[in-house]
Amino acid sequence: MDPVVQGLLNVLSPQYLLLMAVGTVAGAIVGALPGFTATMGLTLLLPFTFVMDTTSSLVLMSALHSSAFFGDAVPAILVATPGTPSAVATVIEGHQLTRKGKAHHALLTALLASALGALMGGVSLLTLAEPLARLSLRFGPPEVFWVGVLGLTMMASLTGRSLVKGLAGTALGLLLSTVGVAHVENVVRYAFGLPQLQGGVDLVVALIGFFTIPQVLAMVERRREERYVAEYREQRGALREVFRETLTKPLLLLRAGVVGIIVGIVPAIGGPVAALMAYNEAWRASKKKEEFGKGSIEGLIAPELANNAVGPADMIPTLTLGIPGSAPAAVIMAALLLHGVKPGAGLFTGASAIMTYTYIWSYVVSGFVMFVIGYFLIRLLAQVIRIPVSLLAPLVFTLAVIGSFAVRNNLFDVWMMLGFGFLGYGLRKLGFESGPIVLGLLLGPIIEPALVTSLTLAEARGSWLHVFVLRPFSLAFILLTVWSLVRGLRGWSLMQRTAVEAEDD
Amino acid sequence: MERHENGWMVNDALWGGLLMLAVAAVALWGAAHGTGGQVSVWLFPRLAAVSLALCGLMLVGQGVRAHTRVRIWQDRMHALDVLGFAGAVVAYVALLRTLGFWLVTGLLLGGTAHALGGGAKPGRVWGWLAFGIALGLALDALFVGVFRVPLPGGALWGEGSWRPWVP
Repeated sequence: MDPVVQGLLNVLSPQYLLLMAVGTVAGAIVGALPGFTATMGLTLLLPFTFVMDTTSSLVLMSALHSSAFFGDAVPAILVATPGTPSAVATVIEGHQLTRKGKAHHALLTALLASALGALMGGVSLLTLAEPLARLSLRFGPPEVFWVGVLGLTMMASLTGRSLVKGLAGTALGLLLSTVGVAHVENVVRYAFGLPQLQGGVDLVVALIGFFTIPQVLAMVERRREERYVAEYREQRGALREVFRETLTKPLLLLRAGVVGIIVGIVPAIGGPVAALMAYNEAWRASKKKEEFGKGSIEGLIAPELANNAVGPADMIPTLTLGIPGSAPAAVIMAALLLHGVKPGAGLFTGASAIMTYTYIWSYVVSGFVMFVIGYFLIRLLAQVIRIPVSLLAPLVFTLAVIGSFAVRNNLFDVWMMLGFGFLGYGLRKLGFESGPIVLGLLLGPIIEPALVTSLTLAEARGSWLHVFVLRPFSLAFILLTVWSLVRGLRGWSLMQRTAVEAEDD
Repeated sequence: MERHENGWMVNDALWGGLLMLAVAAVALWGAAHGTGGQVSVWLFPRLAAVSLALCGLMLVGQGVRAHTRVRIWQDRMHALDVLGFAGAVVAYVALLRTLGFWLVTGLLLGGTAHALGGGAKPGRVWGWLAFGIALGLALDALFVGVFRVPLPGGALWGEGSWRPWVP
């Protein structure tokens, strides 16, 4: 049977639907919890996917990934605080609707828009991933090297406020990836006499440390901030009205979806930018501009739909080229690598194809699952946001300890996780983001062997230029790398700056 | 770090740059003294370390020229919250093997809920600790019993051999 059809049939089986339901509930709660991000949720889940087969792990992660972008709308609408940075634009109109006593209406609108976003993003992944992956069949070691460099420079130039700090973060991550037995020869590097370091820095331990602990410490730091949680009351007939308001605006939906998909495909831009761009586009095209800023439904639909389309679209460069489009995509790529699956054309051929299409379809189906479960979950989510930091912070820390211990069942990994966590918190205070460091750590083992093999090829052919530069794909990747660096050096668009500031807040 | 009206401020570029230079120096020293293998084994770490050093130098340059400062902590209370919690989690990991997962988790959950949650009444601390230990035992049963993660049961209690959910 065709793997695309088989993948769809797999996703619709009770086993995967149940996993998706679990992932959807977990994701929505993760998104709704103050200070909790999709990346944190996926990172904490990662060690426990080792006991599952690859397909089940990916399906669970895709559901969590998708629904976290809906969950984050709940605090955005009820508390005027985005649950994750992607909900930054949702606050603008969502909270205005709450102030008008239409919180339930706003939450249902966000839910429907999120489900449609996941659906559109999932369809883009389904249609665009394989053709792009076929391109990667033509990549030799030099192209793999340059595509890795491109991924790193894009992450460095588009994350955080400073290009130099981003580049320093990627270099630090690459250095960390060289700890332990070398990828190219059986030589131990930077173990400093510690036998525990000979196996290298464990990816899961580093991911948990860099993505979870700084966030927990930030939660503790902000605990004194006063938060007013708006009253939530359900309205009869709201769902029918939301359907009518949303589905009668096909152009708005299409525009927001396309923005989300394009932003998702370009690595390292991410949800906050997509949401703000879609909001801006919705305002530009609206016939009711005067309603924007005062509780516009169009202004709520557009960012929610766009930021949900980003998630699946992010997976296009991740699955095909091995460049994670965002921090959550990096965690999912880590899950793939840890299960022994390499991104690229191999994912779409042979036995892997069924796994890949089951995973891809799970993003499409997650839209439906999210809508059904989300409808009944809204009331619970409105309560979840009231959980105090004093309980949440130690609980998340405990889960981080369990996750890092579970990798190799040793305490050294827990210490290492804590060390990375404190380092990540300190570096964040100095303006260095964790994303580039983790990406360096993730891509180091891919880039290094590609570089060494390319150098051997260059020596054999007697020409560096022909091996490293004068190949069409290499040249294209070099030009894109230069573009991303120049873009980073030239400063930031207003949109990006606003998104970064929103993340800081 | 300097104290200003609006919080504890630091020259982020300067200190970040110095930190990167220090890491690069250690990496280059390690590469110079590394043993075995061909040149290619240490080529990649050297490239990464040199890139890091260049970024460090640029940041130090920026820091010296611009003198910009960023806020690290808003005030002493914010700093104490973070440092207190950081100290508690370090103690947690240090005592994990001896006291066991369920007890350190209980102490951390109960202690933090009391300390950060505004539970100032002295009598309440025991309630929070009991709640924390109950939650710690529930987590222990879930992860050890169901997910088979061999979390330390506590050397003091014979590695927690009394736990019925231990396989």
